[in-house]
Amino acid sequence: MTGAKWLPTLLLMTAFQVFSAAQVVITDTGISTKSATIFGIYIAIEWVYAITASIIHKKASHALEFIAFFLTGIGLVIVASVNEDFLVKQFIAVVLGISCFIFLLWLISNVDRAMFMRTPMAVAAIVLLILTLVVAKNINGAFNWISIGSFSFQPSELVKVAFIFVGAAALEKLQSTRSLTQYIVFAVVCIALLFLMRDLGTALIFFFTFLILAFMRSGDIRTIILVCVAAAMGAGLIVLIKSDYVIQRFSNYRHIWESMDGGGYQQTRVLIYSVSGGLLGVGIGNGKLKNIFAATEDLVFGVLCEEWGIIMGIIVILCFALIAAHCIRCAGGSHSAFYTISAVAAGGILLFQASLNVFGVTDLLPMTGVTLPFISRGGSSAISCWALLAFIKAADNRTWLGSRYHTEVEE
Amino acid sequence: MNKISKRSKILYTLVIAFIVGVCILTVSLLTNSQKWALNKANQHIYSKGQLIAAGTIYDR
Repeated sequence: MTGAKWLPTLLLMTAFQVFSAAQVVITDTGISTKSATIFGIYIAIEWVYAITASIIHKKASHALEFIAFFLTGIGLVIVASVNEDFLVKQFIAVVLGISCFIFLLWLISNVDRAMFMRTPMAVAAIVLLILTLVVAKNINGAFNWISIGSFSFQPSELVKVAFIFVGAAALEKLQSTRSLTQYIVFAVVCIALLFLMRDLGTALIFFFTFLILAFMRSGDIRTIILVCVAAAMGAGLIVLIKSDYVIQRFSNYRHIWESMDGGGYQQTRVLIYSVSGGLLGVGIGNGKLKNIFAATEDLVFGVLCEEWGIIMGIIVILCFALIAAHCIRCAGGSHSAFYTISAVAAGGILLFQASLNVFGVTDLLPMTGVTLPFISRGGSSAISCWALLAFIKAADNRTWLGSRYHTEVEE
Repeated sequence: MNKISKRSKILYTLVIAFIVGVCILTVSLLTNSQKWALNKANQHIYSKGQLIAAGTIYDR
């Protein structure tokens, strides 16, 4: 998607978003000015971003951001269709996320600046997690939310960004064993704190990221197997100590139909309503799954399949595979260990999180309660996903700077 | 640097695993759709255990 080729893509995406948004803006009671304004501003942001980016980086690809804008737009429509009151908060979080994306792109555009920020980021991440453990209240079995007045956020989502940032910066200098040891200590402390918070899904995501970073650093698959075996033994020990908590989370796996109104309640409803929508869906806002707890968060894939159709559900989840494939392309051309490692880790996190969510709610994997990137409702999640995208885009920009298109423009 | 670039190909393994998962999910949705859609918990067609909507018969 180079040159002005982005224009037809953006026009098509805008048309898709206008038609989707119209179904929640125009209701039986009239036109919702609030929703119309928010969707109008959101589409305007996309256009301003695309035009500005194409002026700064002529002939550069915007495919990555367009996928993120496409997914975020679907998420906003789903949130508005379930409860219009949630839309304002979610939109503010998306704007903050896009701002974070642009800020982080600037921050890591200079490797020395990124290296300088490594230690403050690591300290801030650990302090934030300890603070969460101390002040957080038990919400749905986990202690991972901090509330200040009516505003609440999930610090572990923001720490994900620091985890990659610190990891890629620490492993950039491959010869430095000291930096590697420091990073291992940082990773172990983060994962241990998440286990104490009972935030199992995020702990799994952190562990997976650690594996990717370790492989990128060592290139040795045997080391990764060793780490996995050690982790499996550690997990086994935790199951023995805290059996009630962990076993309960996994006991319904592949047995959801036997406890339809118990532990398998949410997953069975996701499957029942996903197929009820058929290939093309029952229409935005006409679903029944939206009445189930966490419909716009963990179960959002089910709402998508029911109201937008299974075809749309599959297209959306394939977008995550496209993002990961894009990472491989730009990781190879960025010519910098920092950008390559951070892009691969960020792409891996988004793909892994999407897998945990989609395959978790459909009972192909145990349900861990993580959000679907860019689509699920949740401010911290929206900010973190856009921030993760900055690592991939930074590698993409570096690839573009070394490409023939850039040379042509310079000439 | 070349070594690290080559290692980024590990993501292909993840993408392939993900696509295999999507295929299994699609087959599972297609093969079980009739059984799941007719479940009594489906409020599109059942209300308080009674069938309320089951399509329209046109050839009566």
